[in-house]
Amino acid sequence: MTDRSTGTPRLLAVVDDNEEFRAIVRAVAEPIGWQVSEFSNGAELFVGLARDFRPELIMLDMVMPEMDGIETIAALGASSVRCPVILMTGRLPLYTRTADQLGRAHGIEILEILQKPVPLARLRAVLGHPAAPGR
Amino acid sequence: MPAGNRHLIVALVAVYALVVITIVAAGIGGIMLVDTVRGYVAGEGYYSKAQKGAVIALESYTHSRDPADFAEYRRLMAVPISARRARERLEDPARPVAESHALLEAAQNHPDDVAGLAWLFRHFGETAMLAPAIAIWRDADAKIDALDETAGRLQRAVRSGGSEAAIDAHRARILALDAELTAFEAAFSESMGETARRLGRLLVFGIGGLGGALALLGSGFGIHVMRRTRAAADQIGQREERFRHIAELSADWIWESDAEHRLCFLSDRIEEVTGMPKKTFLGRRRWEIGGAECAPGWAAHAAAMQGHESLDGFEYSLPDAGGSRHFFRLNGKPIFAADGHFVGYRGTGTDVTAEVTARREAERRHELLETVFENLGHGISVVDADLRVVLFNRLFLDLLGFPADRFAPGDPFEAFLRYNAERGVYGPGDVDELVRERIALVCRPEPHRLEHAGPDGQVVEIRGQPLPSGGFVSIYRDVTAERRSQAALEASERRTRMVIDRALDAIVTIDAKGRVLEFNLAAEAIFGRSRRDVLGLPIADLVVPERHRARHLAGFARYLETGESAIIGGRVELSALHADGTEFPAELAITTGAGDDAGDEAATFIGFLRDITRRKRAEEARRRAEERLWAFLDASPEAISFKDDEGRYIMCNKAFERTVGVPKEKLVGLTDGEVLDWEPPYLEAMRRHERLAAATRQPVRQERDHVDPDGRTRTFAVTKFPILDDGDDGDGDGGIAGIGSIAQDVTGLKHTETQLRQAMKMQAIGQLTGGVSHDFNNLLAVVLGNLELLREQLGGGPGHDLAERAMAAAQRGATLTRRLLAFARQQPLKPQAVDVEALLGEMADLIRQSLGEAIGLSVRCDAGLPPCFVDMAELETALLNLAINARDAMPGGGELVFEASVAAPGALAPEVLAPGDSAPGNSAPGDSAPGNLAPGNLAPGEVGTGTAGHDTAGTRHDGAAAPGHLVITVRDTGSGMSREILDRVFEPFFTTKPVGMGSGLGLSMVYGFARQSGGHLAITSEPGRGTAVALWLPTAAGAPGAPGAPGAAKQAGAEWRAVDRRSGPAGARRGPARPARETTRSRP
Repeated sequence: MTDRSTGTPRLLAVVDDNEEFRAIVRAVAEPIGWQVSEFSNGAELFVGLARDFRPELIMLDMVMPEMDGIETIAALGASSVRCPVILMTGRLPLYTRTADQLGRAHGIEILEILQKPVPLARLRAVLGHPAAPGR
Repeated sequence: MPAGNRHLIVALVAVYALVVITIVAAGIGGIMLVDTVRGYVAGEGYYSKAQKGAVIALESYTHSRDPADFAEYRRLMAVPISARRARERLEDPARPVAESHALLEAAQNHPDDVAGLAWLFRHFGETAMLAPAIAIWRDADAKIDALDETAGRLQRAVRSGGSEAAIDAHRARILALDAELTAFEAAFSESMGETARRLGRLLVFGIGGLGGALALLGSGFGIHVMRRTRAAADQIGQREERFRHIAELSADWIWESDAEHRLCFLSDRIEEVTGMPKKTFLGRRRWEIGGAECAPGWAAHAAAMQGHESLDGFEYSLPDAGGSRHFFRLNGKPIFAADGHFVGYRGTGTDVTAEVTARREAERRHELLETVFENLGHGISVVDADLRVVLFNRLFLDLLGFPADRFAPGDPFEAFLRYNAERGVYGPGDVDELVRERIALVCRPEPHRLEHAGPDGQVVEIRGQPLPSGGFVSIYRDVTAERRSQAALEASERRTRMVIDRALDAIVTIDAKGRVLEFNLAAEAIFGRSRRDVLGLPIADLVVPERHRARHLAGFARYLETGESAIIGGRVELSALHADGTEFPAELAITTGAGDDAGDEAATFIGFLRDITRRKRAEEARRRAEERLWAFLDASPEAISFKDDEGRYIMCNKAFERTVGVPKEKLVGLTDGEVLDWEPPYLEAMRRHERLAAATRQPVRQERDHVDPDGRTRTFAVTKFPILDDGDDGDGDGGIAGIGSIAQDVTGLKHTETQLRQAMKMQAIGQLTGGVSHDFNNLLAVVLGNLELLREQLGGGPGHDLAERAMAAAQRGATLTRRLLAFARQQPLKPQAVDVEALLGEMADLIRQSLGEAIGLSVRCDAGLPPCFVDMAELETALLNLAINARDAMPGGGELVFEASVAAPGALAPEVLAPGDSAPGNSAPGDSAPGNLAPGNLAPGEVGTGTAGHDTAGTRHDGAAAPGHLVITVRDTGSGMSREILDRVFEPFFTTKPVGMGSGLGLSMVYGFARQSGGHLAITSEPGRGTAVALWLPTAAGAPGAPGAPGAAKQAGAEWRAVDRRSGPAGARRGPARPARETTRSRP
């Protein structure tokens, strides 16, 4: 999270195969101080991570092509990257529950579980939450 | 007649005839000769007259000189000249006599004499008789020539006109010559006369001599003939006598008949032979006598007689005075006269009665013999000393395979043997050698016996017997069948022996005194005694246990006396004694047999005894097995019974007893109709079921509702199967011995099946709905997000309202999607403790507003309801949905009731709540219509949904408070629903409302909510009577993991399934609670 006092942009990774939804997140996140990087699936995220991209918060969709949310959580757990994750899905809560448990098992902090569609107010609340990283 | 005599007679007759002929000829010849001579002498006149006439004519000519006179002279002069020429010709032997005939005639001889004269002169001309005359004639002829010469000169002198003198001279000469001639004439005549006389004398003497000779000859011949005739007559007489003797010896009588076939002679013996006088027959024709017409061959005989043929051995018979028939044989020869005409018959007759009788007897015997011979069952052949087969019958040929057309009696025996040898009957080898061997074999002078193997396997026995006269007679007998049957008999005996010896049963034969006659191998083994030791001993001492012996002997004696026996002809089981003193169970069958002979063993008894120790053990084992089987069957929960083919119970198990409520003892031997008070249609259905199984011979399964003794209706899957009667007749195709029945209580199973079907259907729909919802959520996330952003950007400016409305619509879509997910149990619920009474109270106003005034609403809650543990918002929605459905079902108004109560413990799933329980206007309990069953009973066919795997049967419980669930029942008095609709009401999107009136998600969402919350939904309805929907919800105490995840509820459901329904009310009570608590505790 951006230290509002320093104005340093905080890095937010949005991993979702739905480009429109990524745009909405960006539209909501940037005005409140997030620098948003978009990834269409988990594999792209890890390409970025390999280039020393270190986000402060990852918003992770569950059902994606190539590398889905659960795989991404598992891979994150296996990597050295440790940052909070917000889980999102428009599908079965089963996915988010599994990812939730998986993340906890790996010591990854699951900050929130969002069920699509997500009201903007809720999104803003999550991103602007005092518990969000980067403070 | 002796040949010599005959020759002599012939010679005598010939001589005699010769003499007679000679006499006659000589007589005739002599007379003719004399006559000729006389005629000739008499002819002198002619000659003289001619000569004289010529001289006269010539002399006249001398005077007259008339040529006519000279011509006359010439004419007359021709006569002597012709005579001379005739004589000259006759004197020449070279010339034929006939040439002189004309000349002789010309010489003025009588034509009749010409031939004789010619003959005479020719043959006798030079004899002493004629020679002088002829010599004179010849001299006279010289004078004739001189005369004629003178005549010639005279003529010439006349013609020349000669002188008278000359003429006179001539005349004188003529006259002189005439005188000389006349002298010669006289001499000639005299000479001829002398000749004639000589001839005459010669004739007289010759004929006289000959006559004498003839007389001498005749008398000599006569004497000879007379002597010969007498001798011949003697001979004939002797011969005739001899003939008669012979004829009478060879025949009984002699007969003769005339040309008219009348009997004209019969010898005397005929009277003796026939016993009838001769006169009976004499003068009568053959066919008038009678008696012969009947004889065979009569026609031929008669024809032969008519044809004058020889009669040869014609036989006929006549009855004598005594009536006995006599046979006669006739022989006869036709007699013909010298001129060939038929004179009659001569013959013999013989009494051949004895011969005929003998012959007939012989013929009869011969025929008999021939018949016997041909019909003899044996072939027979007779070979004579020359080794010729002089006699054989047809069977001989047939048996040995000799072609009948090839052999005939009289053929050499060797030909038969050769034929056999050539066709290989005697095996391979040189044919001649084989034939020789065979001849040597059969020609031995003693009886022999051979066997002849025919080419086709036929066996012919040949018995040869030499004949006293040489040769032998052979009898051939086909012994093929005999050999075969003998072999078969031996084989049969061997087999019988084998059967007896190999029999597994002891076979013991005893005589009427109870002594052992036969004891087979099995008997030795079974009784432990050897055959050798027991033969002849009393059976009673050997194999009958001592304690039974008296009874055995008494029974045996009784049978012998009265013929009554309890065991003969049947089978009995008894105890038998082994040699070692032990007893063993045995099965005994006794049959009686005839004795071996007519002696003391008039009857025998054959015992067949089988050691049935094993069978007894097996029977015992089987009995125990059966007991075990029935123990199993009694333990079976399925009702099992067997009936015989008349429908009477044979056996049933305990479950069956319980099911029908009648103990086995009362059932067995009776039919359903006699012992069970089932309703006729039910009985009839069952009988149909049984008949079907019997007809198809297959197990037939049917499901049937049955009201048990407690009055509960159960569904049974009843399998009726035929018990095939394949026991006694062994053909495996017997009739139906009975019907077996297995009834399985499938009430719970049916219920579970229904539930499972429903669950699977709902799950499938849920998955579909879930997938769609996800996509909607993703879309709505974008739509709503963007709309929200848009609204913010618009601020309060134009278009803000539009964005608001779009957002509201998108929100509704999101809500709908969430409900779909909730229905599919994919939306997490947020359960909390809910005070149902309070909630209903709060909702009553809202609901009343929705219902309108035509519908009355009442809410009833049991006192002290525990809170239920559900998502309150969802519960509200569900109740509202139910209320709206009820309202829509009562367009004309009605009554809506909300009830809340604690569920009976264990009775978690009263799937059907009878409307009659509380709804007005329902029929009384006990009505058999569906839906009117007592509370707590499951009614198959009604909609039954509930928590998975819960068993309702046997968990009925009286109304003690249940901590597990409470029930909210929403009951209306509306139109109700048909069965078809009920079956589908939980399906999403199914609606009975007009299009646009409802989403069709109402009931399915309520259902999904109930199940996800750990409860369930039950509905019952009847068209026109209304609908009741019961919503079962877990109480806070009974809910699975009250604060836990939905997965806990599912696990609890699975635990419920494991509860043993037989554990009783206590178990049932404990069942749902304990695992749930444990599960709850185990949760972190």
